[in-house]
Amino acid sequence: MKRLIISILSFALIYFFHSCDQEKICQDELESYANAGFYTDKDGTLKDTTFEEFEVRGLQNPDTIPFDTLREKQSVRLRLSQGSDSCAYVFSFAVYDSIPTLDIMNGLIWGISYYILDTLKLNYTRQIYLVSPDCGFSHHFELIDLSYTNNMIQSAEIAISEIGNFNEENIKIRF
Amino acid sequence: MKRILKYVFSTLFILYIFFPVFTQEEPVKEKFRITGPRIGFDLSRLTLYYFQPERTAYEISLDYEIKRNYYPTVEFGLQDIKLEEPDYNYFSDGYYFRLGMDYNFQKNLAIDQYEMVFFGFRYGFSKQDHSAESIIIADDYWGDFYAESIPKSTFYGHWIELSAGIRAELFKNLFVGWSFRGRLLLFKSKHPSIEPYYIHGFGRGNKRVSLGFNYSLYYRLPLIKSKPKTLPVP
Repeated sequence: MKRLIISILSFALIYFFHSCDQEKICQDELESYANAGFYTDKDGTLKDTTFEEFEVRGLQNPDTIPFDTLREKQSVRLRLSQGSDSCAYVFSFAVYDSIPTLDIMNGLIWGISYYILDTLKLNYTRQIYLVSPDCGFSHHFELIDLSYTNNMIQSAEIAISEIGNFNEENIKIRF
Repeated sequence: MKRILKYVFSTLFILYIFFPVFTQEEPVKEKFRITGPRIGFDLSRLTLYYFQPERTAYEISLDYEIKRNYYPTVEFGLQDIKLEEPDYNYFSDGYYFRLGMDYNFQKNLAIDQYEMVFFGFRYGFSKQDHSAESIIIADDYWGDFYAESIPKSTFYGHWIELSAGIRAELFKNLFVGWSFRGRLLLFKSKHPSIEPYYIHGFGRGNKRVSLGFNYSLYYRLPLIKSKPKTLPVP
């Protein structure tokens, strides 16, 4: 009797945890991102670079794609559209005042004078596939080419065209 | 009286001495090896109803001992997938077969024992049609995508697999057995619109490597009875 109860409880626990994880698994599968890393090219050597105030959003979409500060390299994950073969993103780089203002509470503060904007456009292929009965359909993405404006961006290239691995860097952007 | 007793005891003594000569020894049963085609039915496919109700599959197998411990095998299966969800419909049906050989490496069995502990290899092939319609892919950033219906198209897959398992005789000519399978996809046909959800007989369509398990019931048709030249030492 004890073994029967333990067996039933084990199956119930397995089913419960499977149900809980399904939403997270579906979200990971249905949202696809191109990972873009930032670099400067000094003396012929490619080095990671960082920006203090920085924003990325999809063109014609007011929502800002979250800026990922947790990774070792400065980079951003660019969300790809399920409904089209290309996406454009606006990069906003803050330029600070040369002369700071004095704040009694916080001391010297450099305010943002203006933003420099650059646009990056990605072109890619999509192949539809069924993720699972619960998650439904999504696309496999593969980058074909990209184009960009040159206000802050010096150059950009595709490093790995196949979108999938969270840890792989798909695009290298030089400033 | 004395003479009668003498005759009785003499008779008894003679019988005692010569009795073993007159007893019948049980004749040694001659052992034969029975061979014939063995038909199997995969019972594990019946459990799909509980774990993956969208899939319906049947699989049968046929093997034959061409030489002691060597069993060429052919397996054939039918499968269909039917999914009707609020944000898509997906249908797939087709067949598959596998050709190969099992080798029983259990030695020192008597000639009339048929238990197997085996390794095997297979070549697999599948052909299936699939289609999808009414597809909606949710995208809370760029906007939901309403895909065009994907008409029915034919898809092929080729793979190789290794198997290991056991087979035991439950009753005369009735066997039961299980096996684990490791599969490697060699080739799958490319489709511009959609990748298959399942390659029938292999596994998930987006995987290169797949694992499988079979649990089957077999019946051997006892067609041939052969007497070996020498009996192996048990």
